[in-house]
Amino acid sequence: MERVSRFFRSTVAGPLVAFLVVATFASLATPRFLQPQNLSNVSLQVATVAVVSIGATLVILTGGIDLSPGSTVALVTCTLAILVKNMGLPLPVGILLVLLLGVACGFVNGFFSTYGRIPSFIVTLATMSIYRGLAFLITKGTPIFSVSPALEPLFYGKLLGIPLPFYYVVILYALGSLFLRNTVQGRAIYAVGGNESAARLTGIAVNRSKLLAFVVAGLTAAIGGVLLTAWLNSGSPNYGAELGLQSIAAAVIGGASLVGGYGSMIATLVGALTVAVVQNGLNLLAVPASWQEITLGIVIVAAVGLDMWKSSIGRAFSKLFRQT
Amino acid sequence: MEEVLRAENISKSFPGVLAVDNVSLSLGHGEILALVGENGAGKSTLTQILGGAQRPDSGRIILEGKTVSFNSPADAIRAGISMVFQELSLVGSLSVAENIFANRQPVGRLNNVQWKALYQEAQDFLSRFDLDLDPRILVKRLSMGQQQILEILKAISTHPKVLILDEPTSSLTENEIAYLFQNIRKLQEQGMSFIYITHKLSEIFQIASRVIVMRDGKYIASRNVSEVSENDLVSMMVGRQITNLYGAAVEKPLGAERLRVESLSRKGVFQDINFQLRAGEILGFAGLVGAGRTEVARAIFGIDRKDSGKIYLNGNEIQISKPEDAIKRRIAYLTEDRKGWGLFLGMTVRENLIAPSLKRFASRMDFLNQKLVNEYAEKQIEIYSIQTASILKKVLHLSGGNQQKCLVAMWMGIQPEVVIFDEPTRGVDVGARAEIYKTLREFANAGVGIILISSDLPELIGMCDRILVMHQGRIKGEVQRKDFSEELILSYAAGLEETQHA
Repeated sequence: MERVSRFFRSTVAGPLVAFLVVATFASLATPRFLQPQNLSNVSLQVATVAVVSIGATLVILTGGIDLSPGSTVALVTCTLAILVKNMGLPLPVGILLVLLLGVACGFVNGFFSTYGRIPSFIVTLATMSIYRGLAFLITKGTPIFSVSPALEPLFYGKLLGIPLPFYYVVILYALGSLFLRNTVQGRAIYAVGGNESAARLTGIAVNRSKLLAFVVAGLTAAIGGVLLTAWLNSGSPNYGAELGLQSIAAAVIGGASLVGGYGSMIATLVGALTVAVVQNGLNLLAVPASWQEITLGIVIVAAVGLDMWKSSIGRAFSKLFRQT
Repeated sequence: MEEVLRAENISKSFPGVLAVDNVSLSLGHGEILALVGENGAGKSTLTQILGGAQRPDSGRIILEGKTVSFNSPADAIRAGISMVFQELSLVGSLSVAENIFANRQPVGRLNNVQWKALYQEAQDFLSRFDLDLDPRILVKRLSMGQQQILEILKAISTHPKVLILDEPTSSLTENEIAYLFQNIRKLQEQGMSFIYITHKLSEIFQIASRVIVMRDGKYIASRNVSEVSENDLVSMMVGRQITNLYGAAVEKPLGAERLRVESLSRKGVFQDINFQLRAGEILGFAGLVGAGRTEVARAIFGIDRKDSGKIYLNGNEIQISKPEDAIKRRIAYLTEDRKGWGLFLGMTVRENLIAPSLKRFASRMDFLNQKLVNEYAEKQIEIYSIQTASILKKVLHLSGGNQQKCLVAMWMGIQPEVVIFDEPTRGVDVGARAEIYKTLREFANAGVGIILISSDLPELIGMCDRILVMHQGRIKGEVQRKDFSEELILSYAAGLEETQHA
């Protein structure tokens, strides 16, 4: 029984249990959930949130928070649509430019919350408003449809029968995980969030590490934006409104601590999948949107609660088994 | 002995204080130099300058014959001076190995961390110090003592020429201290030099070869340990004249018992605290930082829970589980942390003054009677001579002394029978101090029982009728006014009496 209680103490236990509970519910509630067609749908639905959550996790690991990725996504979809459709730039050039735009958005967030000494909550609250405002400004508030026929294959294409977004997610998470686990800079991000003054005393460039996290967050938001543009073949200032909070939700369901220092890429992916499965399952059951929102909220509290209480749950388990 | 480090004419001031005043010192190769002085003597500031955490206003640091200048602790570490800071500087969410080799993990060609090598190196390093610790375990799982040892080992792992230890034994057990000393001696033989700050004078005689005494930011003396006694050190540390800043102590008969505390304990913090406080008495609590004085006060006031013990007020046992209970019994606690816990800095003088006694100004519908409030606030600032342009000024903008007077006035509003003052004059200028002392005496004369917790010995000796001295969570001694001497109190506070009797 030692193994049971050790499992409950490990870091992925909470998110994994939450995910399994949600997935079991979904597959029991509707047989359609486990059909290949639906699972491939889930992978499409999870792609954007999952990619944006990579950046959210990095920022949260340093002890900061990024509220703005949803607005960055909106700005990116609009800019890409304008560059490609209205200005006639080749698609790869357009994509490259909007990725740079995302990096710039992240840089602004990072710069003001480190060297500018404004709390990241405030900075990104402001840029959340500014970036979406810019998206409205450049589109005059109207969505741009049918951006480019070359876009859709990026999202709907398949390799070996599996949708491309699946590969994007796997590759980006593998890269993120490698970076966090196996580079000095990645470990520095943990140290900065775990104990900032300790990090400074050991000679880690604290501000640079935080700035890097925000820049990556801007980049992953931009990638998310490109995926969304391809998915819907359109750009709109109204897109991505829920992505900011969902990416934070994915990270915290995955066990990341908002104080910083705790969390991992794999756990965030589990968190993002949980969010996607909840939505997909409820969609299949034709549950109204209002109930979907409520359920997602409950799942967040339950998953994080499970993580907070897991040591006492583990203790209770081992006590229970010792008595019998 | 070959010199490894020399500091010449170091000075450093902070707003209002000259923390280090033209101090020079020299450290030999393989020497263990102890640095002693009372709280605020400037030891920590001096060593922070040597360790790169502070920049001196003037003076030079010479390491192995070369003048050096540090912008950060990381600079100092690279040059060969490592410092173990009093506050722990470990990352709880990372493993032991990663903490030891933070920011200098073994890496491959792609700057990728080589985990196997990292754990192996950490394992080798730990076993060189006979420490049986899994390098993969997260630091937050270690005990305080283990963390403190790890912190020291982390500094050692940078192979410093000079290692500065600031109170390294404060949370170590006897065994851990023995382990630490053994390893310090081993490293000393290998040529490492140490600067060792401590309040525990007995440790100096166990580990150091030379001792430097500082007082009020100044260099006082340097002695070989073999040529001094603990008492010599204490008188060099104190060496101050007592002025009559404290007003004349009135010989007065003490009243009935106000407060009695019986075998109060909180596990790991303080044990078996017994004392009695009579009406009109000023009872001092002396001891070093961390001796548990504030913690006892917090437990009496209901901020922290106590594990066992009884509290009697005017002869009746009372139950206090939260500050509200204490306030209802008219017990006041004036915290040492004026800005953090004591005052509402962003609020006006008026709002602060009425805060603990709001109910007095409320109508039955719970509306505040503004007229009453204003009259009361005006009256208080006059009684306690708080210098402020108006009762509507934010407390933030008052001087330290006036803030403290504000805190006093605020709590006197509950018309207390027992007042606990915790470091009432820290960071307060002389003028305001005299006024605070005057207030204290007036209250005592009016029959209030007063507990005065202070690290300022002259203050305790000037003000108190009786002084209890705490050491490591216990009351180590009780000194009556006729026996007051700084030497006696300091020796109790350092836990010396025990070793002399043993």
